[in-house]
Amino acid sequence: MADHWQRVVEKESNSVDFVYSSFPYSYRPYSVSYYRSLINNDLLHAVILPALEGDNLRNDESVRMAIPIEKVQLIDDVNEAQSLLLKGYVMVLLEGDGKHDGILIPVPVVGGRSVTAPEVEFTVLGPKEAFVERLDTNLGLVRRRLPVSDLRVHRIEIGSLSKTQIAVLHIEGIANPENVKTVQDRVKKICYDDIIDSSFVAQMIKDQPNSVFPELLDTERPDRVAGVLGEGKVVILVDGASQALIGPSTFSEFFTASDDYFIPWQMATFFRFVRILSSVLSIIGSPLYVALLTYHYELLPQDLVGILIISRETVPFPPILEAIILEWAIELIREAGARLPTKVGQTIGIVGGIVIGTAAVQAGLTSNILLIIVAASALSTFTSPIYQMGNAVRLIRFPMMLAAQMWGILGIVLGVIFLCAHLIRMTSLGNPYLEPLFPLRISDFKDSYIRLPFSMQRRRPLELRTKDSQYMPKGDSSQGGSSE
Amino acid sequence: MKLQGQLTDAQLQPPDDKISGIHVFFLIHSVQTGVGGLGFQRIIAQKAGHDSWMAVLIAGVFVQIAIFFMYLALKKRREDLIALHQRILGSWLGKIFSLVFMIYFVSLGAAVTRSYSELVQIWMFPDLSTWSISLAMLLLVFYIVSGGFRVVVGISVLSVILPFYLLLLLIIPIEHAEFSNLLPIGEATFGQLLNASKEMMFSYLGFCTFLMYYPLIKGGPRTQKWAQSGALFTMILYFVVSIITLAYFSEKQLLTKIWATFSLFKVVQFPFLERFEYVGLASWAFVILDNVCLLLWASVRILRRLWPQSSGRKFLVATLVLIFLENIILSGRDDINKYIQFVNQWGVVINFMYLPLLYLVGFFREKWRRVP
Repeated sequence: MADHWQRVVEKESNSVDFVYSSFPYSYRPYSVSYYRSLINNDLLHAVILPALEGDNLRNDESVRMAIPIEKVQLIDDVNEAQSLLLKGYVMVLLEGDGKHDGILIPVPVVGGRSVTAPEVEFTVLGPKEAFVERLDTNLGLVRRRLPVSDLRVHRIEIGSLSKTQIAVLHIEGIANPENVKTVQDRVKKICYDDIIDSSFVAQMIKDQPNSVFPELLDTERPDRVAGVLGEGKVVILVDGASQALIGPSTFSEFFTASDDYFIPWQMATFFRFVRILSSVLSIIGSPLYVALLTYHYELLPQDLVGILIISRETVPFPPILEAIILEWAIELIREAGARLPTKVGQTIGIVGGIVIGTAAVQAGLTSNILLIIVAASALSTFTSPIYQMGNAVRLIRFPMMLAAQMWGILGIVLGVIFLCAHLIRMTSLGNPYLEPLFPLRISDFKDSYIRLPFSMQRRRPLELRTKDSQYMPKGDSSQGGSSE
Repeated sequence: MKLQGQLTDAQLQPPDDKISGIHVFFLIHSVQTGVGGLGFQRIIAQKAGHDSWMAVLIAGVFVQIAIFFMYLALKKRREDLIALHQRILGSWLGKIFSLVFMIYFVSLGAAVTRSYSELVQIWMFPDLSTWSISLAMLLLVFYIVSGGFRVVVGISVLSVILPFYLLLLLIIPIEHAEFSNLLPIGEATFGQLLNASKEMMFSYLGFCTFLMYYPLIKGGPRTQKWAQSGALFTMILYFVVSIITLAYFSEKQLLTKIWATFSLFKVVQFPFLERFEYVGLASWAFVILDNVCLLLWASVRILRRLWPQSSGRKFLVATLVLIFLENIILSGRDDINKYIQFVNQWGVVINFMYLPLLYLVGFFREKWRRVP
């Protein structure tokens, strides 16, 4: 064996799961080296080793042909061999005076979770498949829903340590090439050694890294990904992550659930309205309480003020402190609930929620009306189908409460204006985030804040500037009923 | 582990700076509605009594004509006010008159913020110091204006859509309205009506910022329909409000209501909410803030057009500090009123005397030049 190969083997032998064994008495003497943890051992022993024992292996090419596995390659380059070893290849070094030093055979172990039902974005109706951590499985899930050759997958490897495989998906002929290029460029520019999850990528290619709002929509539903690819968006899949990223996304899409397309459009529109309204109420609920009780008693009718005053009779804190304490308690229960193991989680949730809540009111530390407001707004943050948006809503409440403390309802309005300005300033992959509200594009309302029937969804969103703007060819009325 | 993946602004795609025509509707309409919309009823009723609604219409028609002339003056070369000045008045004089506009925009912005903060002090927080509320608003203005024209336009759009519910609430006073208050129609003389129209004009001002953002609109002259309908929408809105006010209050009552629109909001009552004028006043922050933003953006734009190397951001900060100081120094109802009156008079002169004159000069110069 040549010196440089010897060195490679010695270096790798520092790991306990590296295996090196030589077979000097075969017809063609050879040695095998591989990482036991990365390869499929059954395949190695049942197929590869018997093939290497054959007695017609006159030259390198015939060795390659003897192994019944695709993508077997002849190698001379040490560095390449080394990196492929780490990807689940078996290296076979051939003794003798062949043209090549050896061959590499891909036998990676196929493991990981099998496809299960979505947990974060569960829907009552519709398909129940969710992405898993393996990139190829995920690609398969998408491909099965879009069996067209125009679905292009572009692979990029990032991360000097993690060597994470990133797949950028788009449909050629529909997606705006500029968006595709933006995604590819930005992903390539990522310079970080260890990419664990797609959320890393999402944060690193954000237009506004300092915004609390998510800019790329993350989803675990292959049907959603297939849907947006058809719309003309770009999708990023990351190996090792069970969430796909979708861009460019708009604010309204974070209030869109896959459910909306499985139910009649009137209901879908209503539910979207409910989601957005409850998120707004969740942001201004407790600030409003603070503002009303600190400054504007007279805004409330007499009967209501009576109830409020009685409920606050024994509370020793000013409203702002009361609200912050209670909001804090809710965050506590939620954080604890998220960290606790599933089995104790529910119990603790009930204990925390009911016992602490009731006890706090009975002890006279908070008013029960505030308890209702805080609990309702905590619940409202979960109405956004995308978890990240719920998180943003969760955080915004606190500065809003401070504004309410300083300037009453005027403070809340100023806070809302600030939020509006912020959302207007934001872009997702260079596309306006608040579209279709601003820039105002009436026709894009058809599937954003409201959802109109499929028969009215003839054109793709203007925002994406797609190459092919029609969902349906003209004159095809198969989806819109027979009336057209 | 080192993080280098974050992108700087320069690496990001610069957003397309031109806006589509429909936004002109919002820009024109939103800059017209401001503090004036809260109290114009009394002022015009002083001049023309229960016929003052006609003044709303007359002034509205004047505005339509003014917008028509703006398009006429600019559309041929798709230029803005600075280019127009330069072409008609020459480099030196043009610069001076452009500066006049800049000062006008800034002082109008200051007037708007001061009158709003005064309103807040009178109606909501008698103890609140001027500086705290002004500071909060001006910081917001800085955040919006420094975001560029797109953000200013976006705030204009939202400032029309979001507080729109206030208008729907005015249906409630109609229940108690007495429309015979409007009779007999046509009692005011023509002179009285014209006088009232002139007073009414203050509530329509601000639209001459159009002269600055016209080149940033996609579609140029074709957007005139949007501009006209924006102004028309303002007119209809004021018209409806003035009819409701005149029908709800008797003439004598109205003369005592300085902020008549608020007094109308007072009528609104829900089982869970009383004294609705508080909500109205707070929501009005949205309506006035976009005025300030657009005015300041226009003044920054003038600076950048006159001296392209100058730093717009520094100028903006300086202007905001100036407005802030002015807000603190101006105290007392009389002083504020005088200042606002002064700025408004100036506005009418600029909009309806100086600009037509400028167009005329431009028109004749062009004519003479063509005939050798």
